[in-house]
This record gives sequence, structure tokens and C-alpha cells, in this order.
Amino acid sequence: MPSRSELLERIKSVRETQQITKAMYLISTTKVRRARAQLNATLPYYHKIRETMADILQHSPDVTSHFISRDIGDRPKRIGYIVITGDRGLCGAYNHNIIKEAVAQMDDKPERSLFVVGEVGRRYFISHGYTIDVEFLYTAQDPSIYNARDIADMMVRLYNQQLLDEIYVIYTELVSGSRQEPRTLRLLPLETERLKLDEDNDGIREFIKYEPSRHAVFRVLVPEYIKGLIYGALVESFTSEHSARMLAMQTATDNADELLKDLTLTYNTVRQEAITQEMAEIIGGANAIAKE
Amino acid sequence: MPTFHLDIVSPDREFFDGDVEEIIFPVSNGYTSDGYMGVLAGHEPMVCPIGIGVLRIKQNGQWRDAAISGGFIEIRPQTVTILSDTVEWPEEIDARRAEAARRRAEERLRQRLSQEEYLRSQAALARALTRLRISNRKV
Repeated sequence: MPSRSELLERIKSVRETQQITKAMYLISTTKVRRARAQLNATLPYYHKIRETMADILQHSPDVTSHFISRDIGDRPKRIGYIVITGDRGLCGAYNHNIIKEAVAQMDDKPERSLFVVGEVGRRYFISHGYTIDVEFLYTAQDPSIYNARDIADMMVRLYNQQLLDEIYVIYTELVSGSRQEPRTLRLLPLETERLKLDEDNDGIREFIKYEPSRHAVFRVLVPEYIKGLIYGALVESFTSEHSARMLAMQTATDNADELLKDLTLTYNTVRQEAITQEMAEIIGGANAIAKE
Repeated sequence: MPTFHLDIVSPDREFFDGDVEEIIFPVSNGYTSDGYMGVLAGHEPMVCPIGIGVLRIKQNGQWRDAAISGGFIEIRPQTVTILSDTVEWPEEIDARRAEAARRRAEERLRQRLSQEEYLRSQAALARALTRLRISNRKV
């Protein structure tokens, strides 16, 4: 049996840990809510861009762009991966899953470049001998539109300079409140299948004029669209990370409760035993004195 | 004067929503601006990318100016929608920051730059100048 002071010490430390896990749970809850609201606010913007691009592609099949396909000759494809991980742990299998997905995707691609968002991923890839872009320093904590714009600008530039031929973003999608799944999405060249018009067409689109030309408008829209995709992936990963953390912290708090219950029970037993023994000793002593 | 509905949406907020008589916006040339284009009620349906410059909005006979950079405009028979990730009223502009940005851009333009960097610096300069122009003009 552990001693009383030992038990008290344990109870105190478990209680302190529980306070931390509770606080982390609450922080994650508010962060998820904020990020969700931010994403919803930006949705109409990107919806419109997607719609316009889809319209251009649909009504002018002659619009070609190096963003859709490009001849690179015989050299091997240079592939870029943006991997979005968390900045810290304590979020269940979140980081593990996304890193596993990234490693599986990159396995047999010799000409690859790796851009990592988030501290955990960065540390993992460096310590496992991957070459990563060290200038690419974005944190996962603050999925802002400004970061997304920087990343999108950089990717479009690398693509235009033919330093990259294909660009993928590997992120985590929040399937439901408690389920997250890693996903791989191609940014460039554009996946034209994803750019299909919705059915609620009011007919006006047939007559729309593009100024100066469909081609020029399309060229301007592509970086915007990429930015939207990256921003979406950043926010989706962020909410996934925090949902995973919420769940992990909830479990931790529950476990702490359980542990506290056990420890308190043991402590009470030990205390009771000590009291009983003391009383037995006193009674024994009293009896001995009475007999004399 | 006939009016039309104008909606200006940026990723973080609804910038403008109301009936207006006329707008004038900068047309994009890919980096900065190629001049301005005006829209009155009954304009033909059109989609056009927006450049860097001053967006002028006439509502109830009053002109209001805003600094805009990037995005695009969609003109439909009843409504006009502008999507842009940077659009600001004069009172939201930090003139000192814009001034610092102008100096930075000018400094960069003096150096030997690649074409890409040159165009970027020029865009930054145009943005700073637009901001300064309209923030100084406010009454």
C-alpha cells in the first residue's frame, strides 16, 4: 500500500493535469468555432470564382492554358507536395495519419519537393532524412487568407517557372465531428473534372462577355482559385486538428476523473486503516493500563 | 437616375451591399491597371478582372471612393457583384503604413530585379499609391 502522503501527491498532480486537459479542450472548442465561421464567410467568394471558371471552360472549349496541361518533354515530372500537419501533439492520431499519407504518396517519386506546414511535420521529415523547403515557414495555428495567398503565389510561380510540374496538397478532412481522414488534392495542373457547372443555371451565362477575353479572365482567376483551395485545406486541417484534440482531451479528462475516483478510494481506505490501527493501539494501551 | 444592385464581397466580410447609380473600377492587366471602366444600370452582362486602383461608387448622387486591388467583377442585368480580397474605405487605411510600403517598393524598384520581381514591386507601389491617394483626399 502506498503511503498517505504519496497518494495525496498523486491526487494533486492528476487534478492539475486534468485542469490542463480541460482548458485545452475548451481552447480547441472556441478555435474550431472561429475557424469554421471564417471559412463560411469566405465560401461565397470562392464559389463564385469556381462558377466563373467552370463557365469559361464549358462555353469555350478552345480555352487552353498551361494551368490545365503542359508538355514537359521526356524529363521526369517534378512534383511538389504541400503537407499540412499540426504545430504540436496531444491530438490523438492526427499528425500520425497525415504523415503516413504523405509518406505513402511520395514513396516512389524521385523528383519531389516537400513543403511542410506545421512544426510536427517539419520535425518528422527532417529527422527522417527528407529534404524539405526550409524557407517555407508557415504555422498551422493561424489559417489566414494572407498565408494562403503567399503559399498560392509561391506555388503558381514555381509552376510557371517549370520548377514544379505537379502540385498536390495533403491535408486532413473533417468527415464528421469525431472522424478525420487524410486527403490528397491536386492543385496544379487543374483538375477540370472538379470544375463542373452547377445545375441552377439561369441562362444569362450564355450572353456574358469576358473582358478583355475569356482567356485573360481565366488566367487571372486561376491563382485566386488555387488560393481558395489552399485556404480551404488549411482551415479544414486546422478544424480537424482541433476536433482531434477536443476528443483526445475529452478522453484524457474522463480518464483523469476515473483515476481520481480510484485514488480517492485508495486514499480513504489507507486513511481508514491508519485510524483503525491507531484506535486499536490506543484501546490496547488503555486495556494494558487498566489491568495494572 | 436608374439604379442597380451592387454587392462587394471579400473573403472576410460583406464590404458593400446596396443600390447604386454608377461605379467606376480599374481594369486589370495582370499586374497593375490598364485604365478605368464605368458601369451604369443596364450594362451588358460581363465578367472582367479588376486591377489596382480606386473604385468609385455613386450612391444617391454622392461619390464614395475605396482602394481596391485584385479580384473581379461580374455584371448581370439586375446586379453587379465585385469579388476582391483587398478593398478598403479611406478611413480604414493606415496612411503611415501605406507610406512605408511606398518607400519599400520604390527602394526595390531602384535595384536590379528580375522581371517577376519588378512586376511585383510595381504592383506593390501601385497599391501603396492608391491607398495614399484616397486616404489623403478624404474630407
